[in-house]
Amino acid sequence: MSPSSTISNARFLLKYLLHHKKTYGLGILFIFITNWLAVNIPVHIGISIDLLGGELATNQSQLVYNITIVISFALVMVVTRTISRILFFNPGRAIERELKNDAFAKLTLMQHGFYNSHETGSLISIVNNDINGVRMLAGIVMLQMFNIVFALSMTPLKMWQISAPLTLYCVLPVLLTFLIAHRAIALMRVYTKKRMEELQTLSSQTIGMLSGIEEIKSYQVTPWAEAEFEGNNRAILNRSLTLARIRTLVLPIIGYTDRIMKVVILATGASYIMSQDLTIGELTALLSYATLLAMPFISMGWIFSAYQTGMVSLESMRKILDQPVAEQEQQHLDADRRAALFSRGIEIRNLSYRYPGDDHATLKDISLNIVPGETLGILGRVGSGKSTLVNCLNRYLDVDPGQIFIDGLDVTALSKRDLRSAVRTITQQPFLFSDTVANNISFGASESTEALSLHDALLQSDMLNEVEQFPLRENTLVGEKGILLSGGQKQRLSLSRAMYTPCKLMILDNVLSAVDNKTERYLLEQIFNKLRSQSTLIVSHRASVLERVDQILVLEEGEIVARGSHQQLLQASPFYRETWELQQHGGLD
Amino acid sequence: MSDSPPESRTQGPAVAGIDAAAGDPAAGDPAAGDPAADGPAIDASLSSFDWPLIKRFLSFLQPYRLDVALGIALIPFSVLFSVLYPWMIMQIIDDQLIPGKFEGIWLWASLLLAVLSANYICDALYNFSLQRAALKAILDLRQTMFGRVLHFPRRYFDKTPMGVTLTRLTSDLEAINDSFAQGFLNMIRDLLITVALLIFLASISWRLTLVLLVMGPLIYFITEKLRQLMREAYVNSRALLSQGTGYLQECLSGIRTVQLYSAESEVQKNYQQYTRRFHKAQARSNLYDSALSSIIEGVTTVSLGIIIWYGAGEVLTDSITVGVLVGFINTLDKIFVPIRDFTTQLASIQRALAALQHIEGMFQQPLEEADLDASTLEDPAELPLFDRFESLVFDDVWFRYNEDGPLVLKGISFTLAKGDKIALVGATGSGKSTILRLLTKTYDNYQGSITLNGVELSSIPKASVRRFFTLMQQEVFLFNKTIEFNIGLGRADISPADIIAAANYVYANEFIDQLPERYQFQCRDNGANLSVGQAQLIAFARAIAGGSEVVMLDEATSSVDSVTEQLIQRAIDHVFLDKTVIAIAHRLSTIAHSDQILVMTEGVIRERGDHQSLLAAGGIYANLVEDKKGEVV
Repeated sequence: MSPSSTISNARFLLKYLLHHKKTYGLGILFIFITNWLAVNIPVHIGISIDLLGGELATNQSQLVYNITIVISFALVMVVTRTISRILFFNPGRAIERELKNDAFAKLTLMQHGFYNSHETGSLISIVNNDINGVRMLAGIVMLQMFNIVFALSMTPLKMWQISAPLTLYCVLPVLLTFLIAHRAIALMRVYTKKRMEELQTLSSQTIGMLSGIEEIKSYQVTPWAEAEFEGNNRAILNRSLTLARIRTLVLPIIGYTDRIMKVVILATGASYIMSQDLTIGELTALLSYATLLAMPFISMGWIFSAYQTGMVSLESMRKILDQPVAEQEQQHLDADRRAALFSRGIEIRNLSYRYPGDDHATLKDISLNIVPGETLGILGRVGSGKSTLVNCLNRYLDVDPGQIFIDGLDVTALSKRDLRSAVRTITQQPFLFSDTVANNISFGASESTEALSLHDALLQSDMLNEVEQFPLRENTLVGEKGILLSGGQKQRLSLSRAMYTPCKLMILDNVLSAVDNKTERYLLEQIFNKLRSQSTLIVSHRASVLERVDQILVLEEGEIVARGSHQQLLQASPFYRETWELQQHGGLD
Repeated sequence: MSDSPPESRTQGPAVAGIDAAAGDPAAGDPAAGDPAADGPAIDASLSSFDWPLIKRFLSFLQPYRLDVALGIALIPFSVLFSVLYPWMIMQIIDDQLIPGKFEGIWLWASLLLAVLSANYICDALYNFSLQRAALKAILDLRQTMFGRVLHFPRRYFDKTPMGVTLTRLTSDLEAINDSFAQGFLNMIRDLLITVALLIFLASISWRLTLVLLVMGPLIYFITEKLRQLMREAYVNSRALLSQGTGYLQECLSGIRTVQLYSAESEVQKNYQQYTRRFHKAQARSNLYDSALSSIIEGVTTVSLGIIIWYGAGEVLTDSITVGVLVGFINTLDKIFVPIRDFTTQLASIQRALAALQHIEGMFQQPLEEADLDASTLEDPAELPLFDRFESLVFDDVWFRYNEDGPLVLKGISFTLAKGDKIALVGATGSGKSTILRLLTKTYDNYQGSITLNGVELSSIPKASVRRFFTLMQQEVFLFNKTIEFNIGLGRADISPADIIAAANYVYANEFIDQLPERYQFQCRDNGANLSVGQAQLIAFARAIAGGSEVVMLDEATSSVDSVTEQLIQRAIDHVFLDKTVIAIAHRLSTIAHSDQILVMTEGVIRERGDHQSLLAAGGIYANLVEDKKGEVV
């Protein structure tokens, strides 16, 4: 999947587990105490039972003593067991949080190539659903592992101390049921998975038929549809029956393990009682141990399957976590150098760009300089390569080295974050969060000290009046949960966001496409007079927008066919002149 | 499934610590470990037992009543053996071990094993036969529901997202299945066994039983209280989780904006707020969850101590024997575990009831109006008038989809005579598609008059109307079957020769003949293994195969690649050559070839005429054509 996934899943997990080694260590200690108490309770139950056979008066105090121990051990166990569980569950949750944060951080660094090949839905599902398997691995599976280890070592030891041969007799039924159950659980897992797949087949078939419901109805082929559906329905029934057979006919054997052991203990114990090698009390203790011994075997099958699920989940988490991030993306300029970026501007030298899998280049041999203080315009028809050029400049697209330089430095050697701290792009389709108007405007400005007031930002983007009409003004939620904005409002809000903090080079990529002429004139006024960027690059297919910039580049089929000021181009470029004249007369847009 | 804290499982073995009871037959079953088992808060109480709902399911169980009867008949035996086991243990201790009688011990042991085996068999068969009956009932239920869905009216599909229907057919039935596998059956048996054991113990020593009777409600109370706290914590953390997910989803959708503003650290910090709050909320439920299982086990052991202490007095006064005391101790878990599991099982039953309620909705949904029977019209198909298509006349037709919805057609009038080609042109929502839907009788409640060969459309059965009209659309839907099937769709009156003829008609034969299996080629995933154009031609052939005289053509707005465009163009040209056509047209060539163009805006025909005359008029149509040309620029 990815080059760095060479370390095993277990080691990968261990890295996170070790962050919490103290908590786990304490947890193990408490599990040990819990188990120690658990195996000692039957000892005192046994003694109590034996005391019943003796003299009332002499034994009374001893009996009370032993019963007090049983009850107090039980009470202490409530506390230690609770603590031990918390000590395992909490790091499980903490690791869940760390993994989620790490996955999120990684996702913010992934570029569009990654998002083209990974659906958002499946990424969210990994971060949301697969994480559960990993959390269980770090929580309950870890807990039960230690529980089982202690239980399986301490219980037989105690039983052995009472009667070695009886202990050996008990091992037989336990092993037998364990083997049967283990096999059955493995089968259950396989069949459950197959059943899930069959259910998914049925689901996608149903979706298919519901999508084609018009066809099914208008061609009147419902009998066929029902027959098809029945095939899958039956497959599910058959699988469910197999599962039910295992679940009801085989698996209950686990629940009978302790009772079978008890029969063995009673039957074989009799002769030892006869020979005075065993007391009734010790026999009672052994009966209690039977239950204790059966438990870990019961949970083992479940733990094993949870472990496997967890590992599969970890594997899919690593699809995100192991994504390589280019080296220069992790190195950032210090604040001073970052602040000094764009002091000499940006130079594009013979830039060509070809989309992966495309035969011909979208951009051909583009050269231009953007010097601080200059405003620049790019005019071109739909499909002429304007947006591609913008996306090369801000490195949304990966360009080859040696073509674009900022202050003489190759941009491909710079982290994208550093570059974009200097070059800000406002796109035609702005993305607004379902958050308040205010938060949408201040988005990305958390570290800025030069932010405008909200009032000014709104004023400059001609949004002030409208926002004041909103039910909660600037605290109104935007989007699904709040007020629905028109395309033009969205663009203007996005423009407020752009103007909120200054930047070095502001690229406005066709951002005025959804506003009317009057608003456009007002906004252009604001852009040229109020924008606090050193340079501005305006991209449009409307010549009127570009009239006032210092230099206009005319792009046609990926090439710069003309450049100059508005007046110069009116003279020199027939295309520019035509476009301008056509649009002056309110023609096609 | 993923959202419930998995540690909250209280049914499976995970919480069963080493001193927990081993009696739960569901233990070890991976399905019992389903985190959803203790899932979201279900506030429906027992009073929500709704007989009509249960009756619906019982009616589906009816055919499998033998299985049900067998299962129910086994319950008394299962209960009997469960009680026999502790009784025999008491007997062995008192009659064999304490007096030191060795002979007969093996007989007792064999008897015990026999009782255990019998108990096992009864339990297993009880569960299996009832589950089998339930599974078969679910099969029938699913099949019946699907059959109904296929006959639901169009309106149902308009207002119901597909996912909802799918949930009814899958998840809701799964909930019933799960309830049978894990909750319902075990609960009934456990309850009966607990009651029987208590009666049995009371008959031996009512005073010791009293101790248990005090402990039982205590356990139930503690369990219930903690579960309630857990549910609250769960709802809380669930809300936090979905907030975090919402933010994650937004950031991924707006990742470009995030990156272009180099706001990566800012959004990371925000997201960490969400995960931190979720983590804190979880810590609370971890506490309750951990305490829950520990306290139950603690109470069990404490009552064990109390029983010995109290029982000691009884033993010494000779009112009970040591064997009875040991028997009591060994029966404790059999009584307490069912009490502990009661709430979980109840929740699973409530989930099943909620599912049944959803399912009932599927049965309440009326089916598509049965086709008008012939009585409204004297079997129009028999009239000479209906041999072939003559004319279709819309006269001042008004229509709205919902009674309180807006009018989508406002006084539409036009005539389509045999051999005519009419193109409907207009923006999305102008009413073009509605006209076609009225023609297919997808909707019926129009005002004004639509006559087919002079007969009012609303009085003609759907099947007869569909003989005349066939819909050719660019929204392709292919079944995962052979090409032959996809063209013929199993229609009885279409022979293999008709299928080939239809394929030839739209020139689909050219590519089909190149395929290795030709007409037996399997289409996959809605034609994913064919090109877009090929899939399109198959859908066209399907429409042509019916042999209808009038073709309703629904062109797609989205543009296609030039190869596809060419294939479609040829097929449409052929159709235009010798069929009567009414088209929702987007292609300039389709529009230009029509005899009559109806330009629609907002449910009104604004302009009508042929291409040349409309262009000359310089109205809406002229502008539209101008725009079309503009798009190409």
